[in-house]
Amino acid sequence: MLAACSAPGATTRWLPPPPPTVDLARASRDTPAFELAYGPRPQASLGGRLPLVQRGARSTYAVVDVHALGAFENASTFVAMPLELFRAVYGVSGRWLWRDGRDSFALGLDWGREQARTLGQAVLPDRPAASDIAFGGGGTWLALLAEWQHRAPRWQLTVMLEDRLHLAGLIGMWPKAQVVGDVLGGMAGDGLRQAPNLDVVVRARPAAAWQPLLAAHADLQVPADEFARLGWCVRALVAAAHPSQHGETMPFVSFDAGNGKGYLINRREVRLSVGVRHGFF
Amino acid sequence: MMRKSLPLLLILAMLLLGCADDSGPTPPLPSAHEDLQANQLFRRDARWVGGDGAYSTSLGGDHTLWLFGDSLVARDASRNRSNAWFVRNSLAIQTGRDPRSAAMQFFWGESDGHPGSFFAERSGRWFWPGGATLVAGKLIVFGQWLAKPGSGQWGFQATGSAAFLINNPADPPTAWLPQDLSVPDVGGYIFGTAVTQRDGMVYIYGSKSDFHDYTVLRVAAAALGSGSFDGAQCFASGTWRAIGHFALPAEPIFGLGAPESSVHFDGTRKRWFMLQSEGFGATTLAMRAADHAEGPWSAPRSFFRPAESFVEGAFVYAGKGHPELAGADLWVTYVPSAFEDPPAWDNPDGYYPHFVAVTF
Repeated sequence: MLAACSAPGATTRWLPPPPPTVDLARASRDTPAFELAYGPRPQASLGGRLPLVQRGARSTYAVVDVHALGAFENASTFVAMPLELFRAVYGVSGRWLWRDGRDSFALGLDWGREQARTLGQAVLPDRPAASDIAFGGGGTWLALLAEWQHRAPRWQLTVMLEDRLHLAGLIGMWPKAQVVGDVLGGMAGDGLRQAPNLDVVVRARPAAAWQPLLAAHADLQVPADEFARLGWCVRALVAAAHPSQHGETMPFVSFDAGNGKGYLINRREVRLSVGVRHGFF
Repeated sequence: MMRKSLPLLLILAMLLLGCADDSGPTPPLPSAHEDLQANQLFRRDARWVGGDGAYSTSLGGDHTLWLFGDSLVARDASRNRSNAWFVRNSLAIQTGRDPRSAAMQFFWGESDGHPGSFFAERSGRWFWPGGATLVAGKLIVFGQWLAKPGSGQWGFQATGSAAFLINNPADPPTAWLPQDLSVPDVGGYIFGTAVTQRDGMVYIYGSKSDFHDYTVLRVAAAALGSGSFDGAQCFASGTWRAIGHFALPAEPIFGLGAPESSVHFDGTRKRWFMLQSEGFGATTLAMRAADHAEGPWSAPRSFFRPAESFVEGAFVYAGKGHPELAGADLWVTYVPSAFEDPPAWDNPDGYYPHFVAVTF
């Protein structure tokens, strides 16, 4: 990022809202987008990513943005609206991006936090077992980001790798600082120590009105508690993106297996969902 | 008996200062589960409807003494907590070693014609029990005197160590006449955080400050049984020293300990274990290990997260082991409460000790 900022001809500009491309197409359930989905229970989310400032030249530059997601989900009831569980994911990230012909690359850091809540009179969906992950897998993290995108004439491939390193867990690994990590972890709600995840998106004919895409996501959830069980999740998403002057709409079908999110993190399920995402910008 | 107070500045200081000597042997990582049947031991009394602390010691035979801090005594058999009497300490006698099948009888004191603390308040100060031990047929109950100069949940302050000698522990507690013992003042430590004995010596652990630095005092059981601390020694600078020579504050055997704990020698594993709650708020149950009562002690190793500690904002504390009980490799208890003042009595599952069965 420093290199981008100090490159010859570098300029700084405040950014307009971004076109909804890569982030909207990810299969990750942490994608900051507007979404409604059903299967087997309802899910909904409100969110977005807002670039704040860009500095650099045309081929190499740094971007700082903020992102936020509020995700609603039901644990037990099958009514249309999800009103039982809530999950907030938010943060600020900085990326250094550069282009080389048809390829573009990004490296960055993300300072984020995730918190799980029950809504209204809802209670925890399952009584925790001894090997469960605490706090709905939430906590505060510093994530390392790496992205690569290849643009061919008729398709594009995007690969994103993120490794969330939760702070309390990291502090606890420091020699003689385990007790401090335990104290901070309990207060900050750090249920995980580390959460690496990978997204791959193949998108056909980026310029066409309807752009078929296939996205896959996998993540690992390494618990903060030594005695808790490792979590994992995979998700595949088949969609058709429809860019328009009102944003991009993306109906999809998804299949996911493994641990859930938020207070469903200790429930392992196989799910088939249908839904739609929309980016307003 | 919510003794934990850990302001943010102290946490930051902990980060800057680093921590304590934790070079003891690595504790085991046992499996553990909450035992709902054993939990009923605390919930069957007609009027005792909650309490924290939950120190225990054998009274010989199949009797076990339980000591509780802040406790709730219902006005009648309806067991209604909302208008229950709030007393600063209470106790119970368990008959039968296995908590899943044992009987329990609770005791409290009387004040102005209604339930009061078993160990009565004095001049605005109250007694919170700590560890206890039976020596030469006498019972010694340690603890601390507290006052509340401030307001709110954390407005209390320890004013000194305390200990009572009970000459007739085999009699019903209603016949006990606790005698005050004068606990030595060593470096400002409050003694009784944990108490145990082995090979004719009683080990009395003490802690001080919001960092909960720990030290340990030892005294011959025979002397203590006669109410005397003569010959007592404190561990400092790598050796046991007569407390009469303690002109300066004692050096802690480790820092960042728990405000309440238990210590016992595990004859099977040939190790000393300290059981405690670990962290602050949404705590886990954890174990330290040592080859000697005075250490060096290991860092705590968490082995169980209570169900109540799975959500942010939880307040779970008072982790302790109960090696005198039967039916599990080790029984451990903790108490879930809430950060509200007064704590959330309306949670029917909260403010009772909960049993966790540990399997090595």
